[in-house]
Amino acid sequence: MKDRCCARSLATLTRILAVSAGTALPGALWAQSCALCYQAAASSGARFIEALRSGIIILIMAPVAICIGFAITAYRKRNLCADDDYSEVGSTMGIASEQISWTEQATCKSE
Amino acid sequence: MDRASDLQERVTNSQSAMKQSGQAASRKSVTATATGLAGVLTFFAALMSACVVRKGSPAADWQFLQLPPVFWLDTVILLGSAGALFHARKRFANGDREGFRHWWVVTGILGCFFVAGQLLAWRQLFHAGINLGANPSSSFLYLFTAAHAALALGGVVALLSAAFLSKQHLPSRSTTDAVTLYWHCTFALWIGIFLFFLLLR
Repeated sequence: MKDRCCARSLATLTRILAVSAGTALPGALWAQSCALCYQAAASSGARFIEALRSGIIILIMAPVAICIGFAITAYRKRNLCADDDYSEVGSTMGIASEQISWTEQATCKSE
Repeated sequence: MDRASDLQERVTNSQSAMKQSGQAASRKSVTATATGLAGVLTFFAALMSACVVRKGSPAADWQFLQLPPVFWLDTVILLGSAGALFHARKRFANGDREGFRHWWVVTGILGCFFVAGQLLAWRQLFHAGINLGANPSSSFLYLFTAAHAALALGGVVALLSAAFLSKQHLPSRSTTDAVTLYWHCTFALWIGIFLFFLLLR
């Protein structure tokens, strides 16, 4: 059960990485930018350019913090998915999760 | 005898399964709250970014504001409410129903004082001639404090409704976990906003 869950997660992760690489890797995409914004920023003074840089850094902080939070949570709870499945089954059947876990392991071994 | 022990074992197993199911529900509600708060954090980060860029704009019409002293009092009130919430959680873990309810309501009341303090700060600003359209800096200050006051008001409603509307006056663990996370994030966000405006000067 746990192995199947991990295999499914790995397959999903591989698909996400493949799609991300497919959309991010073409070199032509990196050359695209808003000419109007660039010209407006370049024609302004050094003070505005500095403010723009600070603004971009502040803007990037929240997504980075969220990503780090997700990564830490995912790492800390990496072994929880199997336990959740067992507890939900256990609560409906009136059987302890340890017993189901033991039964599942026995079934896997026999297979 | 065997049948009795079997029954006892089944009851113990059922209780264990129910406890695990409750923990799973708590995890789900905390995850949902954390996801919502991530959106709120991004909103405030976007506002801060816009504020910094507007301050450095070529228009050069940015006026530095003297923050109302009530903001310091508001910070102390929120700090006190975070402490009260910590005590409430401790009582909840110990199963002390009355103690938990007492500290939980204290947290909600301090939250009400915080929102009242924000209204007082706006009143002081308005009487000093600093209204919403006076300057870009004042517009941002009103926007930040209004958005945060709305967030805090949501927390106060959640705190007080959890205290008074729950069965037997004791909310579930998933509710307390989610509301605690929400309120601590509201406190952390206020500290961030206050420091931001202090550093902006």
